[in-house]
Amino acid sequence: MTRHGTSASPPRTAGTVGTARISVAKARNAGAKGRAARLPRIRVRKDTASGDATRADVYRWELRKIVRFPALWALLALCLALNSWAILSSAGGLSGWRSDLAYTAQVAQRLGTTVDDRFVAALEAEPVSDERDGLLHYIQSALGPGYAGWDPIAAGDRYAAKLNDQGHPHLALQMQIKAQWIQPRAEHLASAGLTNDLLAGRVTTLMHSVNATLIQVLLLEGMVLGSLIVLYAVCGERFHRMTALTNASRAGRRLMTRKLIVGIGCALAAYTILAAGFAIASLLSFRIPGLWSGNVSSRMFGMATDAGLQPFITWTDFTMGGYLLAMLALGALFTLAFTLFAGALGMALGNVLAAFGGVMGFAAAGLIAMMFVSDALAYQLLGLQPMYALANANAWFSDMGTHAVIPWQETVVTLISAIYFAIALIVARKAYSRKDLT
Amino acid sequence: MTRTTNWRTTWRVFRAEMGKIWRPLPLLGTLAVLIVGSFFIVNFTYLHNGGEDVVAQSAEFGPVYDAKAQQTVQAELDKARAAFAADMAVSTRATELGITDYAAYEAWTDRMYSEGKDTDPTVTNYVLGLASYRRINGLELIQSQAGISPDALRSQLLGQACYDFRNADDYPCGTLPATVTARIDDIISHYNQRSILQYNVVMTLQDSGKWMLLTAALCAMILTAFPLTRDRQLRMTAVQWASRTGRGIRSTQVLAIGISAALVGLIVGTLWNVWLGAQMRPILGYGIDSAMYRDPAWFDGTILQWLVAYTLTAMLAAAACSLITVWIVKAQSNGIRMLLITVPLAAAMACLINFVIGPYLYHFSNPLGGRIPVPGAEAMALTAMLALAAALWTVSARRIRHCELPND
Repeated sequence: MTRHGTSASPPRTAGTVGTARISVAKARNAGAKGRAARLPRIRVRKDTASGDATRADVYRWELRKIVRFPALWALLALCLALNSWAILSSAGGLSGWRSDLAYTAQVAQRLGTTVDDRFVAALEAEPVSDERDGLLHYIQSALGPGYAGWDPIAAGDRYAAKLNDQGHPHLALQMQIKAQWIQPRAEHLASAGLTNDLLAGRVTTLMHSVNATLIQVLLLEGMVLGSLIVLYAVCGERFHRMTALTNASRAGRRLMTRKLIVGIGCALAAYTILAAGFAIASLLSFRIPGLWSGNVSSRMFGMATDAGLQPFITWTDFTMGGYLLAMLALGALFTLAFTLFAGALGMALGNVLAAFGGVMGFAAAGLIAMMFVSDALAYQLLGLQPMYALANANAWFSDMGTHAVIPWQETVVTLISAIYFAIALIVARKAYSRKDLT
Repeated sequence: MTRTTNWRTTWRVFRAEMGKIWRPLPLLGTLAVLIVGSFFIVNFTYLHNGGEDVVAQSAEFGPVYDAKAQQTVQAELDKARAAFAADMAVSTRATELGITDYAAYEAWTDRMYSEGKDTDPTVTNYVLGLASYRRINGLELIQSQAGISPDALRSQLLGQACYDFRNADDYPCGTLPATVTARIDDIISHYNQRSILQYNVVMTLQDSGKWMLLTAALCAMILTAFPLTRDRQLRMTAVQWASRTGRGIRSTQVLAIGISAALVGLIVGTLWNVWLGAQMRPILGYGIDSAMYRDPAWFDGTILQWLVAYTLTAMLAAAACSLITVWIVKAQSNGIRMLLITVPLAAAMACLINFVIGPYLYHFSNPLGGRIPVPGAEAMALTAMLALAAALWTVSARRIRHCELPND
């Protein structure tokens, strides 16, 4: 059996956009009669499988194949409905904070959105109610203006002590270095007056927590939907018994690259629809004046960590709206990583169920590692995969306590994951072309 | 064909269908789900919380907190107090402060708190590290929890029932369902037969049991979702539909799916049973109705009986979830379509078990029991699901026999 592309390969079809057309069969016949040397150069339209279709046609047909798959749309619609319901019901008081949200919106309308001495005095003068008392108590128990009373170096030392106890002095040192990087960020936020935004008042932390959980759901949806779309693009021919036919020629095998491009594009488009629905539902649900333009690192937002209550200091300035968009963008990278992986497995295994099982198994193993591994070094090593980002979704773009040793770690890890999955995809693509009998 | 031949044929078809279900790839997927589920099952086990051996503590004074057990607890408490006094004599700082025994230590801490002063950290840290101090605390907890009168216990149980069924903080909270008050009366009537199981034991049963149920149902769904779609992909469905006999074996196929699912439930439940039973071996014969907590169960029974009940529930959940899922999925034209339907269904079934059926199984606190205050409402709900699945499959099988050109 000869390898594809050697002596048994069909005539090459590459050329410039064709004018004089000679059918592939005619060219083959000509070659069989030993007149290959005098064979005029075959000019078919560039990058076509049979001389009848352009590259755009192939993309369009592959796209049509995915877009005209009703079950995909059904799952997409189900995910959209589920996300919207979850966001609307969380804002509508499912967790018992509807009255607090409504009161915060009223207060923000009347007293402004900057929590300073004037704001506190005006709030004290407001009619007594459970909501007012709750908000007042929250403001008074939160970190002071400009994070007064909080020392990032001391917090870093506490993280370092914990890591030293585990026997990881290098990680402990890195934690202290990270604390030195956080300090100028904290000083900048304080000096720019960005720490006093009201955001959602006393429910800011809770709202962020719910939002992070919903983002995790969105990521899982993107992962499942994206993987299935790519697998349908890659392995779809098998369902119609067309794989053997398409793989019988070089031109047919070349289709795989286009299938991958279209599949990955559609997966990202599906995620974009989900993300857009998520953003719209969030914006419509939480309508508090100044909420989305307020800085996410406001002192109204605290994180409970090993080192006690910590402000949520991000590595760059984010408004709440900007933070939401950044989260959705990272979600796209996360989805891309898994779609690349699904594509690679789909080509390598040639079986939808095995490939999907492989993707889900990898994801489950990664998530379990992030949930149950307590040793800091093992956590960092096992965290070089996209589920690290999913597991830490409540602290993205911030220092993340002992879970991160470098700035923007969730982004870096997801990017690295996408890169190694892309390499896997390229390798699988090359191996696919070299397969003798697929 | 004779009746015997019919049965033989049916048996052969059944075996062939079982062979189609228990194939390597679905089994691999099932195994993967089982491994993932095991992490959660193990993680939600609290039998060695804080270095304490909860099972040994529960078993120490026998299966029932009767007069003899009470005397033993008192005797152990006296011993522990004597040991504490000996430990205090060793500490110079404690002696300086006049702390010679446990009563003196309690009086000293009470005085410090009432005066708003901090206790001496040297003494406090020394005492907190003493085994005799932890022993006294444990024994006093038993006495305080188990020593309350039947009337006080009844009041506490009614308060818990108010919280579970009326979302009220305390009793009285309006009329409680008759089944609830009857169950509380029943518990009170067995006042002297209560065990002194620690709450961590029942929490382990509830939490790891919930994850076991979830794992069993998902494993069963993974295993049984494939065969019908695979038949269609292999062009077998058309052949099967071409004859009355072929269409007639639909019932056998469904039976194989249901039995396979129940078998998966049994396997997962048995593995859990063996694993947890080995850890709880000393207390397997102890009653679940314990004097140490106020979380009433709808049924009496020993730990072993409860482990078996969980396994049977897992079989029921696995069969019900699988048969409904497979009925909805049926035979899809390709694996992607099947996955697109199966994945959200599996998520929905997982949510159903995780949030409705599984938590605090057969206890007052179960979310379903809170709405339907009937003993065993969880099993009834699963049985109803199974009956629904059976009815749907029966209708499908009958309709398909009369169809000229079935769509699926």
